[in-house]
Amino acid sequence: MQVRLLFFGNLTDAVSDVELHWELDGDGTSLQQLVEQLELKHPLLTGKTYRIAVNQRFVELKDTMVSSGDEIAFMPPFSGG
Amino acid sequence: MEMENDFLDRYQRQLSLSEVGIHGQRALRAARVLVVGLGGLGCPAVQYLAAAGIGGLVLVDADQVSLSNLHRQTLYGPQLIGHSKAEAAAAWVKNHHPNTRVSVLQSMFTMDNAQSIFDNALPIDHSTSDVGIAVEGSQTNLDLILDCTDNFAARYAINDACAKAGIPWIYASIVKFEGQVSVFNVPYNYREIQGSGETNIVSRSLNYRDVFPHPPAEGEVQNCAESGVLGALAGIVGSLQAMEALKFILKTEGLLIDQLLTYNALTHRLVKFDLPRNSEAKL
Repeated sequence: MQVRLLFFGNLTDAVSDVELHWELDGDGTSLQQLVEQLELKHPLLTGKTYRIAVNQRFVELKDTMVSSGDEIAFMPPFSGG
Repeated sequence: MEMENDFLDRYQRQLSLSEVGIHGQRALRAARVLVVGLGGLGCPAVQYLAAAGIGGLVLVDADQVSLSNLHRQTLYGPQLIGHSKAEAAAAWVKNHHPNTRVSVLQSMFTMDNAQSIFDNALPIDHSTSDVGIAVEGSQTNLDLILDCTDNFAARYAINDACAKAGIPWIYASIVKFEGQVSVFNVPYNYREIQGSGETNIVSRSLNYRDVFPHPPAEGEVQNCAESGVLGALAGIVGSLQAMEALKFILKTEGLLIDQLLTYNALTHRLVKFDLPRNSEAKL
């Protein structure tokens, strides 16, 4: 299944893009597994502060499953003013 | 203060809106708003708040104008380099919008001085306070705070001080071509609150710690000086912040309560994220 990943702020530098289409094996992948796979491919994400939103709603990493077609946003805090 | 006819003439274009009218204009005149940070966000926010007829502004910034500020901090020119930003912004307000009382605190905003800033922000003006919207549970005569700062220490201090004092606040921040905006610590029944004697506060909306419970590590997230920013973005996002402030005072619908708005000026992607309450958030 495929999900759409959106990146904001300094995370766009970590993955060198604002949007990725991500292929996952089969259904029933947890958000935790997705993040682990993503950090393997893009190690600059590791240790960064961010929240994750699934389909425009912020979620907790644990206990969240992702489904085909989900839009998953990675949102860091911003500092500038 | 301008004569009544001039007053009506000055604000005619917004008085004609059903969301404003004479009642809304009085609410704007009675409102007291504290702006922390007179940089890229603070400049447009202060301009539009004063222009709309906000009655009292408190401008807080310890910084001085520098040449590298001028590409985005449009209240200042080269003749003001080295001068206090808060003083310079206050002078602009007095010159352009004499209906707005303005006071200045050349200071950082910290948890240590937050209560003192609230207490001394503005003397209560009894000629307008009867139509104010300062809400029960607030230990101050301030109605609203705008976070226009560029660092996490000030942002968390504003969050925690507002939670403690019961003051709503409007958050914004920018980086490169992106901005975030939200409205925090607002009574859910803000549209029903009639004045400072109101006691029927149901509960308050989320705050910044519900989104990001703790500041990131030192140096992890860059500010405008480190990562760069195009000045017009500060104009857009600071104006969004002013708009949310005016909507709160006018008690319109559609405030960014329990939501985080993000804007990307390169892609024009505008997203509103829903924020669930974070049970682990601790002040």
